[in-house]
Amino acid sequence: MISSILAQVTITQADLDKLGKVEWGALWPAWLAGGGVLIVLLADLVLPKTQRWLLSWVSFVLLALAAASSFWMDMPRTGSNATVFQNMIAADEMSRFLAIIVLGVAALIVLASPDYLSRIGIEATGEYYALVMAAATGMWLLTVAAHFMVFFVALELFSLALYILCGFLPRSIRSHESGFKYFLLSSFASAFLLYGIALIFGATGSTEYGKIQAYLADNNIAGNNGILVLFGVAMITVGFAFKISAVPFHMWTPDVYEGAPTPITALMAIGTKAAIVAAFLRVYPGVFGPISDQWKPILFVLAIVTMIGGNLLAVSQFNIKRLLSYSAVAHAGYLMIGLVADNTLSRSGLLFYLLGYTVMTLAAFAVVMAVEGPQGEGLQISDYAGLHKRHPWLAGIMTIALLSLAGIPPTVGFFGKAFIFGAAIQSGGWNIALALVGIVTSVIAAYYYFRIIIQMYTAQPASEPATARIGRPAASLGFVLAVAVIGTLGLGILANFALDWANQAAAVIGQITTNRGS
Amino acid sequence: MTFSDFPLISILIFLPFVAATFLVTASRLNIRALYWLSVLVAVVNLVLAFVLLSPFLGTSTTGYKWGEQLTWVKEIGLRYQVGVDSISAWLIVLTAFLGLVAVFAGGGVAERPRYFWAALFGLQGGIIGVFASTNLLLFYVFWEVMLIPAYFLISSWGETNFRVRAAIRFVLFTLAGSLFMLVGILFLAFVTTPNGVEFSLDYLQVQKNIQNLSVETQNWLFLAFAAAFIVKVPLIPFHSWLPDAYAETPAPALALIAGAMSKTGAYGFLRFGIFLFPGAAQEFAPWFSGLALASIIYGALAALGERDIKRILAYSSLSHMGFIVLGIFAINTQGVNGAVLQMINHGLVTPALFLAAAALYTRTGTNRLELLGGIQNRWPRLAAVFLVLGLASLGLPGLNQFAGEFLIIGGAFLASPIYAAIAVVGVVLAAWYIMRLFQTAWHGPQPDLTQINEGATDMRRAEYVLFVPLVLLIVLLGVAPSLVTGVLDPTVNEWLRQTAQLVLGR
Repeated sequence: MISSILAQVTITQADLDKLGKVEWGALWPAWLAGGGVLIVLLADLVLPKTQRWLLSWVSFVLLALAAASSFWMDMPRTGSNATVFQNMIAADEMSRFLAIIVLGVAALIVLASPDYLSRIGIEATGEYYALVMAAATGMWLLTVAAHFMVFFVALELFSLALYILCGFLPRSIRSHESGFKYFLLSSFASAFLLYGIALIFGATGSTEYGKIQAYLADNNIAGNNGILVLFGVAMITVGFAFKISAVPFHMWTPDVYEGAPTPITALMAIGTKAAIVAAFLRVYPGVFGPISDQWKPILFVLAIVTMIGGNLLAVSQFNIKRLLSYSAVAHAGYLMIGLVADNTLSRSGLLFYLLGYTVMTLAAFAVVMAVEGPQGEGLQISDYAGLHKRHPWLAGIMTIALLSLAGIPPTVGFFGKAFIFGAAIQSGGWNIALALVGIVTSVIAAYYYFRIIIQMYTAQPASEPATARIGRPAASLGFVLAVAVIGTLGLGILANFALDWANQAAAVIGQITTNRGS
Repeated sequence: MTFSDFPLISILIFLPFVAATFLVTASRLNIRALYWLSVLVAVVNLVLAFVLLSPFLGTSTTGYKWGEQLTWVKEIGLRYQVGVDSISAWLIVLTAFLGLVAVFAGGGVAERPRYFWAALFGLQGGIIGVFASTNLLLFYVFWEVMLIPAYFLISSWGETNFRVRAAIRFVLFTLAGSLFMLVGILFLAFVTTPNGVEFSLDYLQVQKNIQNLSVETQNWLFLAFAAAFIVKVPLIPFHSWLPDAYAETPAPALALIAGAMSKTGAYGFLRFGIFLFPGAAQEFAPWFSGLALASIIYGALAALGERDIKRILAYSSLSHMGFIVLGIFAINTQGVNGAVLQMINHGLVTPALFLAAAALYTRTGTNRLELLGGIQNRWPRLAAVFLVLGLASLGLPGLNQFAGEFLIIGGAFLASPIYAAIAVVGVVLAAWYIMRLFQTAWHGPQPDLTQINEGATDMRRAEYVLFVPLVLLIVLLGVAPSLVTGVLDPTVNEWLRQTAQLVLGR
């Protein structure tokens, strides 16, 4: 009986092909970084206390391999092969570009951490590195998501890791406040995002990028489903604005950034922001490309408000981490110009800006890490007074990073701004206003960045600063500083190569296909 | 490789940057050795600048020479394109010369001298880059590169407690102006390029493309560019950074800042104002001439009201820069020729005056006029130098500024006799404040000179080396301004002819 039924069910190779292969090879970065979480946790159990220092090296090597693996793994693919795992993961040039940014930053931050952690006196280093790797895995998966479920799971993966990491400082109330505040507000925003995804699913019948895009291209926002789509896009935009800390959804940013351990602040300011922006670069111009008239005005207003708000609020800050966090808010505004302008240059310019933002912000935070004292001293801007005399190299690196953040050529920050503003001007119409607001706020930004430079070079410390005793940064932190500052200058002078790569990476946006798999 | 294929401009631009990098990193070397090495680099750069000028001498060559180009970021039209015509070549010679003056005079800086010389070199490289760029965005890049060393020169080596405020004001004013220029440049890249052609910000190409734009767009773009230049020159009402910045900056740095950097603004008005937007420039010429005249009169009156030598010289510089802009916006041969000639003259006289004032300061310990007086018999030679420089500054015939002012006023007269009439008042006022400055400082009753350095001798050997060539050049260019104008004239006429055709064609 059973055998007769089985005899009728013959599975041919064609059926298997229809199901699609499982392309394990396209996920090497995730295997390495995600598997690394387990390796580090196990090693933490096994290793005696005196050899725990190995953990940082293991996680650094694994993350660096994960970033590098994007060059040998089964990607990038093009055309109809660009997605794997039943169209859930995009394995294209952009995934590779972001693997380098997100995983590379995580690797460098891991490298910079031991010096910082030992100074602060954190014992539980195994969990720390495991969580950083989990966060990095999530961030990378977010950038390669081609399906809203993957998107959401990846988002939650790194968010959960970051909640814990923000509150990681054992005896610091600020750190605990930071973790808890981030947890509450971020979960709230995630709920909006999830509700938006659900509405989109209700309207279009799918959570797959390609299918939603195809639906929207056919039906736009016609009929009752159109109202669902609009609500869904609005909800998703709320989640997006929260995650990249756009004004007026930025309230959490300074508190969380200030309280978190400095390497984690850097990870959030760089990795999270890059991952979110890249993910939404696939979503807004790609998936929601057919209905761009609906979301562009919202992002237009958000971008203007964010540029003005972030820069104005940064002016009155006295704590360097708060200042850098408001500067991160302001940069979110510049990044959003790239989404609104939405032409070839804006997409590649946005990816380039992410790369540049990564190196220059990393340089700034690495200096902050090097100067910070064991009890969190040395975080006031006035503590930087006379840094030039004590640590000429640190002061020089900070100056280059700040000039780059202010957009002075020939640093990478200038080229990022030139591409983004240029794209806005190229797209014409009201978008030129974005470039003009960007210009005016850049002058404000120059004021507060120069305030730090003034402190380092011309101000006399009022008394013996708390950080005067801090010695030279450890070699590993020095390596991070060197990579960041060379990147800041090198990517500026060789901007053409980086932009060419960003061009290739950006070419895939909106081209996700649905002709395979389930 | 032929003679003119030699990458001379690149060497001129990047040699100072290399020297600056070396100075910053060479912490172990003997400081005197580094000083003489810096002077040597500056001398080499000056020699190279003269080589750069050589093809223009004795011929009526026009157009760009020594061109080099290299693709950089083609997506926004940025190419490394440099080249010089005789206007740029003269200004580069001036910059290289002032770089030498600055480094030589900067030997006595007490605080962190290595970094001081490095900043001077960085500024010099940036200024040469500005004069040599034939790509609009490359011009912008060098324009901003100038900002950083200038900022450090003011803020780190400024002379009083207001230095930081002066420096930050300078940076913000300049940046605000130049970012508008950046928008203008990007706009030009994307809007003027015909469809299907790669973006190009090549100067000559853009000059042609601009004529396809509507008159209104051209006017807006011209104003965006003018925003950058008007702050850098500066003209009133955008001058308020100038007195503080000049009063703070040590004299060797002022040789480059007041001597060469302020000329980049005037050069911008010339090359990226009236040559690039001839139509719009003509339309706005009365406005800019008016502002220039206002600067001339206001600067002179403010100089009369000041009691501090450096501030008097700063306001006199404002007044003289007004003359240069007036000449440019006369938009005729005399005016433009006179303006470029005056850029060079002013670039010699003003640094020399600031350096002489600094030499006085080291002897008396004050810049305040009311604390000075009757010291000519103490240091008669320095007084003589001061007098010659002062007379040059007020435009005495036979010294260099006379020729420039004469040409400018002639050009302004052709544009409108009223301009010339007002400008002449500025000349009279210049005579007043300069002579008042000289008389109160050197003649008259001797106040209580408690701070005076009794042991100070008259001109030292280094000061002879510094001032004698400057004075000789001032006399030389006063007697024979045709050394400069003879080379400039064909180029200026050619540019004016071309741009006039473009205006007719629109």
